[in-house]
Amino acid sequence: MDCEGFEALAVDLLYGELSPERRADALSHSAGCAECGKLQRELDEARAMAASLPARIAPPPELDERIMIAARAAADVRTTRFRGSGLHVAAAAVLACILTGVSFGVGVKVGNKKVMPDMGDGPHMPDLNANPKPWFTGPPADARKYMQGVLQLAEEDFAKGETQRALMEYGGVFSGGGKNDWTLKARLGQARCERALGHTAEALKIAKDARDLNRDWGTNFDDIEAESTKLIAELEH
Amino acid sequence: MSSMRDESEGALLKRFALGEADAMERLVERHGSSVYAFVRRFLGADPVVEDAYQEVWLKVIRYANQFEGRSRFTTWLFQITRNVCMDHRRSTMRKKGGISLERDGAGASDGNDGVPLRDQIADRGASTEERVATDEERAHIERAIAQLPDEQREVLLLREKTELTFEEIAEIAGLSPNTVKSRMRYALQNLRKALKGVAHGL
Repeated sequence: MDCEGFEALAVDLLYGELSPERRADALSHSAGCAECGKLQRELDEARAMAASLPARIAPPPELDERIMIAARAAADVRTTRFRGSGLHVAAAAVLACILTGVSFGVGVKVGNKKVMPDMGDGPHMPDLNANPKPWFTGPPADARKYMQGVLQLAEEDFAKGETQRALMEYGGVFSGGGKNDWTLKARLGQARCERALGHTAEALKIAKDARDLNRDWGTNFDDIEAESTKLIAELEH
Repeated sequence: MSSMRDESEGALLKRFALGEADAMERLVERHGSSVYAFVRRFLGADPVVEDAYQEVWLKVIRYANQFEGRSRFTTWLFQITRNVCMDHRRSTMRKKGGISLERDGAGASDGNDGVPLRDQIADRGASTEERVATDEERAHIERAIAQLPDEQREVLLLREKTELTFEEIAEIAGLSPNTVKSRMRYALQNLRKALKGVAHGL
């Protein structure tokens, strides 16, 4: 083996990727060649330096929290729980907000920012083309505030008889929420809307889902348990 | 069903694609810190690091149902990671009107409000078992890696800090394995040159 041949195989030698014969050839060359022996030592040293650094650096926890909000919304869009009721559209819109908002949100500091979108006279789902995106420019806590704001709007709309609109809003909140009381409240809200629209079977299914989720998640909120049980009894009656 | 702890990445991704959000949480737990380490070392302490890290996972979320298991999950994940990082580098380059893919003075003066790199790294939860080099030596090494040209740093980080083989790196970067190995050699030689006299005995 000559120096050129050794140089070509030096990295394979370093990472143990040579056959025993090639390895023996390479080592025998570098033992008798000052230049190639030096190259081998230097590569060894450099690799040891690189290897001494940790392979992992933990990301700031709020980043993972935000990723999980998006993951939950995406998972809900993929399940069948919204199909047939048009709610997957609302869920997809919330997901899109989260997905598009995330990359705009990081590193942007907005003092006294408005967390709630400007609902104005337009449709209640935020304008995804707006820039900057006022509904999602802060940390995940603001995403939660946003969701809670939408829940409040949904309740107001439901009280006003704007049932279809409330249904969309409840669906959006439910799709983007985690294991907490307002996610379950949104689920119950969906059930009430379905009942108001005359979809009793769908309403019953959703009310049972709210009750079961509260139990399965181990959250066991008393008000959710009481409200869902009452609603289920009414719907079964 | 096997317990979640033992479940393969492919199986977790499949469950997520079917609507189980918890499966994604497991994947982020397992691989988040190695993705973050790569993004951070590749892009420096630029404010885009956090954007890029999230973009990687949002792509995993979006394309989960397209993972076919033809390559390993780690290869797929780091292909996404590498592409996101490259896109960010290109976009930074365009904004600066520069023509070089190499970093401009990154590492030593990385715009992190004067916080020494070793402190930034230590803050991010590196375990004490991993401290083979002293903090000071590590800071030198991090800085030297940050100053390598992109194409060398990429190969060095993928080979040394992930479980990828040269063949897998070649697949990710769209290069031949020989080109990857030759970049690796240059990366190590440059690293050695930059760190001459530092970290004796490592």
